[in-house]
Amino acid sequence: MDFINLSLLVLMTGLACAAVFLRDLVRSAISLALMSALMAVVLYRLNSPYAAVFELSVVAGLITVLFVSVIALTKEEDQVREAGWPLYVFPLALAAFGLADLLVMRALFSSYQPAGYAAVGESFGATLWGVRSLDILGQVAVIFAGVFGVLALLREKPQTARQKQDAEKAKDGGEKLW
Amino acid sequence: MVTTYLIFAGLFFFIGLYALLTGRNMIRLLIGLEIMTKAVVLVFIMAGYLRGEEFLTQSYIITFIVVEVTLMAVALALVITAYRNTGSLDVRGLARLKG
Amino acid sequence: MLLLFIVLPLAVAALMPLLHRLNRWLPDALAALTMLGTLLLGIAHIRLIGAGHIYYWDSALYGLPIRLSLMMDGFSLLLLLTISMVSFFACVFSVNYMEHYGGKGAYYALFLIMVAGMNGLVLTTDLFSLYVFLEVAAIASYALVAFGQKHDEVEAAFKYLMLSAVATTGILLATALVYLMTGTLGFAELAAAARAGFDPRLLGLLLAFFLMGFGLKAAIVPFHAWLPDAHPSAPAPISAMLSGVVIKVSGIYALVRVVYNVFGLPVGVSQALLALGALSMVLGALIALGQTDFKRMLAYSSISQVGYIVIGLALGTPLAIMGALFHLFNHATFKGLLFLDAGATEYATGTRELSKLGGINNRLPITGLTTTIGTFSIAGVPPFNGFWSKLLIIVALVQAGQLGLAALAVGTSVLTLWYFLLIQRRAFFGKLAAGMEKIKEVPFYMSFATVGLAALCLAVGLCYPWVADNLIQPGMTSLTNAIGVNGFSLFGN
Repeated sequence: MDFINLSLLVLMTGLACAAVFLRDLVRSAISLALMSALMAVVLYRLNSPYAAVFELSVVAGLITVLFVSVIALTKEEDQVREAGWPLYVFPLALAAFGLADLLVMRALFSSYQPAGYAAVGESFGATLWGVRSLDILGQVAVIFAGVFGVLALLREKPQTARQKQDAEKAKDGGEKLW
Repeated sequence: MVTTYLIFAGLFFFIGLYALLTGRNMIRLLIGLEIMTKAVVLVFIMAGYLRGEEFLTQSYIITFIVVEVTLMAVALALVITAYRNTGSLDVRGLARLKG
Repeated sequence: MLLLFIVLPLAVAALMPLLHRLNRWLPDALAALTMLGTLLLGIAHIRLIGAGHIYYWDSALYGLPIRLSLMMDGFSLLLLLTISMVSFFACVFSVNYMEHYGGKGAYYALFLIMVAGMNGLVLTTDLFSLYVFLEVAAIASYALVAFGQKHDEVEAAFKYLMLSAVATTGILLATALVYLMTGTLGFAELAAAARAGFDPRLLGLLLAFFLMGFGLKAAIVPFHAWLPDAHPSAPAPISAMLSGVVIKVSGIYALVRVVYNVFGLPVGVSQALLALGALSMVLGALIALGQTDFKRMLAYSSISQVGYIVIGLALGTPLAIMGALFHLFNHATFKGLLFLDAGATEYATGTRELSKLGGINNRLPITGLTTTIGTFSIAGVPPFNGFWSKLLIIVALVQAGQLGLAALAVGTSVLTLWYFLLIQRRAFFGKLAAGMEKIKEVPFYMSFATVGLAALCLAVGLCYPWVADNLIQPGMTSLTNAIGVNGFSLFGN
């Protein structure tokens, strides 16, 4: 464990807390994006440049864009007051959990030895396409589900017969006035 | 080294879950969910680094990120639909069903 | 060609927006035909999968550097048949039912993607792909639950999404830890690694994550809060799919595949599942008794019936597993049927409040008759199919010396009959309720679907030996082999 990664992880923890407790949602979203950006650095330093690129461009970039546009579309962020108590209970809860976390992880993993090796291709591309082909199919399916899901959820509300009649009446009335 | 990364993964998971359990704004709940997923990314990538199987774990993580973005898109579409219905992002406004 | 089970629905789903433009009825026809196709494909595999046989399908596609490997055993095949059967009838039902929702193209596309996701989940050979297909099915189902865009639907979908996303994140975190410890995620390799030994404390932690995650997907009692909202809010054919199939595939199948095939059935897991199963069975039935909304009552009843399945699987004797798998299949048929009937009732009368209904049996003879058949099946009245599976589970409980649980199972069965007869009496018989004078029987395709499922309930009950030998037995064998009931055991008792 080198010092740089450790400090990056500590910073990420701080940003996570900020994302949870900042009052302004846009700032929360930006804290989350910063956390993802730092995560990308950690991934890069752990010999995983491709995952780092995805983390940076898709998670820190695209998801933040999604968040910010929805926040802008709804424009009601200051009307939802978060409860006060979670902020005061949080340090205590975090400390308690952190201690338990420390003890459990130490007990379970301090004598960890990597064992067994999985099938890996000779390059990243060969591994992703050749070894994890089924996941690529799954990705395609997930993207379809997302596209159709968003289309279905944001489609024009279906009008009931009554509403249609009303709308036509209003239209007729408007034309008659002319 | 393993333990340190795992401890931080545990912390991310906990902070995200805490936001999910205590938050009121729907968007903030989704932010909590995003924080939780960081734990998964960290554990996979660290495991790949330790084993020298970074190609494999990066494949996992890229698939995971694609799934996560799609999930977020659908979740945010739901948020917009709920907002159209209630005019608010408060989850307490979504308490008509009794569970 | 196992890949067809995934690619066929996916391809048709991708074409949906185009088809919708070409002809109004094309999406309806093609979706139902696709489901029929996968059903026939599944039936064609029945002879291939004898008892204990595992069929591996592996392809190097025409020199492309792509390798897809899929696996089918008796358990997967049983689930595949259940999925395509219920989804075929749900698709046919949708032809009329989904007319007034609008957006049929997107609806069928999501429906087919959900099916493709479940088929993939059932056929995959490793834990990570299982997660991916779990999410495919889940994301499609969130959108489908909220398809009506009204307040209740969106609320239910959002709750479902949040809880389910936490569950899958937990499952994936446990998966990452498994990978960290063993260096592999393939089911077969994992089983070998687990046999070689696993830190028991870590095993406990992982099993707890998997139990909570998949338990939430299956709506086992302490993790059930989302189901009574999500299932009734969805359009009726989707309720039928969610209750009939989705909770079983993404909850029970995945749990059993991961825990049994990989870790065996440790005593702790067996005990925990027995307790949770019994709790689900009894609580679900008790709460169902107090419901006034037809679909909500059915949703609680699903929790109760899933309890039976979990108990049978947790007991782990061949007979109990057989009963559980049979009940899984049967529950898909009769709960699918009952949800479609509830949809038909709502379609005809405009309400699903039981207090506002009454005496509609004469106006809706087909819906009334099929609801009666569904009632008898779910309550375990002979000769309908529910009778056999409940009998098997109860006999297995008695054989294993679990007399208390056996008594509970019988008691719950009586309770089930009671609250379903209540529906019958309140809604279908007695005096005609006010405002119900002009209602008409539902259109052809809706009746076709309910009659088809009702016929299936009866046929499976009558042809019980054939079904047991050809469908259930292979599934049971693959599970008993996995947990080592016949001879070898992963975790020496």
